[in-house]
Amino acid sequence: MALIELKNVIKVYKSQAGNVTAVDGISASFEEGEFTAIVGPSGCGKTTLLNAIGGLDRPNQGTIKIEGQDIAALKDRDLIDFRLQNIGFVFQAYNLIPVLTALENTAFILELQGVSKKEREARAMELLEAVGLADRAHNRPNQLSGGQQQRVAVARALASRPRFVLADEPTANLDSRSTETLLDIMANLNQREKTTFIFSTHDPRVIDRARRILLLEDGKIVMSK
Amino acid sequence: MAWRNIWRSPWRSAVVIGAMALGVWAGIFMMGWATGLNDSRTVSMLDDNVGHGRLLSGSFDESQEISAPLPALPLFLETLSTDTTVTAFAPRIVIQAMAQSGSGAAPVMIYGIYPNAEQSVFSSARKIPEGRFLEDLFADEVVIGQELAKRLEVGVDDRLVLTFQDVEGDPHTALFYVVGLYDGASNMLEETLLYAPALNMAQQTGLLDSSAMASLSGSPPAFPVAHEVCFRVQDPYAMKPTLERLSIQDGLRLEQVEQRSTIHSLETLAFISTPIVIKDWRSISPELAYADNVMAQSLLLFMTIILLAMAFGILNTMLMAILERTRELGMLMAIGMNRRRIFSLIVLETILLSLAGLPIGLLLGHGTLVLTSQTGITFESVEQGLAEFGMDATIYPVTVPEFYLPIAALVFVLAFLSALYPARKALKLNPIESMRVL
Repeated sequence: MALIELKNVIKVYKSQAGNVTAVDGISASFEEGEFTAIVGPSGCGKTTLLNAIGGLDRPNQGTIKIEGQDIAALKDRDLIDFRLQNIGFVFQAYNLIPVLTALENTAFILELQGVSKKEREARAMELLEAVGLADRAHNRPNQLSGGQQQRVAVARALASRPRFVLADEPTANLDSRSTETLLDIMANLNQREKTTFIFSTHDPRVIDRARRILLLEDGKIVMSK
Repeated sequence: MAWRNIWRSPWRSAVVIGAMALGVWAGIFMMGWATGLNDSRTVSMLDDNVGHGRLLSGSFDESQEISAPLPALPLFLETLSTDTTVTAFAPRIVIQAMAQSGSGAAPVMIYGIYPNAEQSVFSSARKIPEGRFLEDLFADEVVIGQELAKRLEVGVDDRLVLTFQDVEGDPHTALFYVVGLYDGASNMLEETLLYAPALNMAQQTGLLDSSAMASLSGSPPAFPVAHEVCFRVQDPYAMKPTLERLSIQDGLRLEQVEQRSTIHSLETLAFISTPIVIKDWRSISPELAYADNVMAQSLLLFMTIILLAMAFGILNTMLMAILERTRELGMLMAIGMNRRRIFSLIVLETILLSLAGLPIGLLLGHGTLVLTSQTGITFESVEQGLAEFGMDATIYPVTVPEFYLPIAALVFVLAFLSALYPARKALKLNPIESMRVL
């Protein structure tokens, strides 16, 4: 069974100009351990597709099954819990909690899951070491560079050992060196922890490192390789 | 995390905490000041004229009939004099009358008093700025209040005509000389109450007949007749045991009257078998008791209004905080923070923000009250107005620790209520719209 299975997913937004079909009948599946990039021009539906896979947005039609569980059928409350237990998120703008240190940010999801303080700090430190930021564990986000913040965000996404990580243009705000470092780290974690990564991106450096590429145009997959 | 969130905007939070501290300080100070004002007025009125307790016959209490003196007076005077909690007592004859001078007339209440006893209980009998107090129990002399003297345009050594009813209900007019003016705690009382010698009034009203009067010429009892006996106790706020002892004494007396009923005429029996009425100052002067009772409630209401205004400020601050953190709240929801946790976070932040100012305000308020309770606060500009209500121009606020816990609870409840709307706003956020990305 595929880790993620999409069947004829359609998402239509209503606007004053009329209906906009952001995702137009996409069917695809993602296996465990994939390192996949969803690419395409702006407005092609990359983010909408990731939102739907991540349970942040409900499709108008079609099913999204994660390990056989149809997430569109879950109630809002259950969906929040599903995200907490199964999905890691990395955002374009890092979105760390400014009042928490790198260690606390990394451990935050484990805290939400009710993991003991000792256990979550050990896991958070392990991940900060993996992303090369153990020495910055007690720094707050405003004391870190953009690249460092995004590495903390990756550590946070992986802290709870999610079934997969969704990353929306994770390198969009990073310079070349930070991008390379981040990609090395994610590729390494993908290998080491067998974590599934799905990116949306139009950054050629990310596309070069992806092992699978889905090309989207006008809400449809036009190429898969 | 909630505590750290408060300090994202240190200045804004400091202003809110400072405002809360200031509001609590002002409220506490007002409470201490108002309680001090009320206590001052109560003590002043009790000392001046009301006394702490009073005994009177049931029929006199109902009708103010001059012919209903207190039965078994010696028995009760002995009880009072042996009671260790009673510090002084003063028997009085009470007569409603009309006072006339060459310039006018005024309705008055004559207190037929035994001077030494009266002075031991009431301060108004001791404060005689002009002339002297009464000395002779039979003299045609009166001491009147300064306000009544002004109204009737009389002074020391002037004459005053008093018209009143005797025990038969017949009108009686007598001429008296003003020998002194007293300074009462209240202008209203100064205008209506005057002192005359007890035995003179007893004779003129017929409370003591000629044979009784003749018997007084030998070795008279100290207090042969009275309508009421006023008394002072050590603590006017703890006089229940004293009242109970007096009540038991009256019960025993009535039992004895019943056993010996055959030896009395019906008229005498009716008189001596009248139960006495025992009053504490709360029932003598219901307005003082009322002020005392409603004071706490009024002060808490006042505090609630202050804190309610503060709550709106806190609500506004939290709304701004939610608005500024829309993106972050959306992210928290996206990564799996459920509604209950978001709600708890906002409520906790609001409560912490509100409670942070509370101890500062309480400490400042308490400190101010401790200081001013020693120095007092003088309101010279309204001295006369305060005197009208029997109060001194210098008010001594008192500390009010009994209110601190209710105030803390009030702040907590209002903080919780003011958190509800911002929390509801936060819960309505949509993660995608809030973040605008993923």
